[in-house]
Amino acid sequence: MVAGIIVTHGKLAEELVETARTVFGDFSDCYAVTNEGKSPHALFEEMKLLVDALEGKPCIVFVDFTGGSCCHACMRLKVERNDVAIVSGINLPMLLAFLNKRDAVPFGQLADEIVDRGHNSIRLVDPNTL
Amino acid sequence: MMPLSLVRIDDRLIHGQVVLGWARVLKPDRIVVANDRVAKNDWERRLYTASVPPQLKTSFLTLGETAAQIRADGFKGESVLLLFESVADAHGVVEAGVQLDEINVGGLHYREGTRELLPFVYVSEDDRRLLKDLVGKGVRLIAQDIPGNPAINLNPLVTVGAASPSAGI
Repeated sequence: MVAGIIVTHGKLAEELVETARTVFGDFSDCYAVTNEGKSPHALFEEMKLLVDALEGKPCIVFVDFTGGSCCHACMRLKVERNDVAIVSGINLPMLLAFLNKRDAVPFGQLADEIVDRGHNSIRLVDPNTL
Repeated sequence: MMPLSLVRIDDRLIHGQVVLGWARVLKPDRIVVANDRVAKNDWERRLYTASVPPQLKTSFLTLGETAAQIRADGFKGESVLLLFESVADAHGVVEAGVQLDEINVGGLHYREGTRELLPFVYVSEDDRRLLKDLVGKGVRLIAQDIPGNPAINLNPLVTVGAASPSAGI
């Protein structure tokens, strides 16, 4: 199973995982990490420990936005561990797509499909143009 | 001397609080990252540059270059947001003859051998000694993570009552 690690500011990652459980049902191999109170180095080390603990399991790392310290720490990780894919802009539809597809889609395609889902999930919604 | 709109010590250098918080409010012309390691690391420079909106110029200078540029007004009157990663780096630039009026200690996270001054400011005994020295050189030290939050005066926290017993290193 492809693992997921969500890295965000504040409690966003934790809440995304909890909220996804209420929609998708229970799941495993998906971890929430916050940058709160952590130096860039500490966050990087925590990510490295987490990925090492996966023992080679493929992994998608989600971050809240590009350019923040969460994203920076994950990009540093990718320099050393090219087997992880990083996806920015995590939202609930993307997380649900990940949970839905991670066993069904080849790992090489999974990140792209999640990014597409993210793009499609954001739109102006108007009942008059249904 | 070039106008410095903000001098900040933050172990994250360029990140969300700096770009979305400070740069949005202060509207500087340029962000200067004063850091010997980043100045010499092409990959890190690209990483940080990618975090900055295109209309905002970014420079990555060594500490020596930073001191020289400030003294010579090398940015031709641009308003500059100056970032240091550590207390030692900021102190080094002051030692190199740059007068800084105010430094915002905006983010120093817990590391081994540090103690908490504020929830987002942890200092080692070396840091505290250098901060105290900066105060002695006329620098006003404040701690303010983002523009909307109050600026806390750090001067008394670093000058009064040296190291607490737990700070023994």
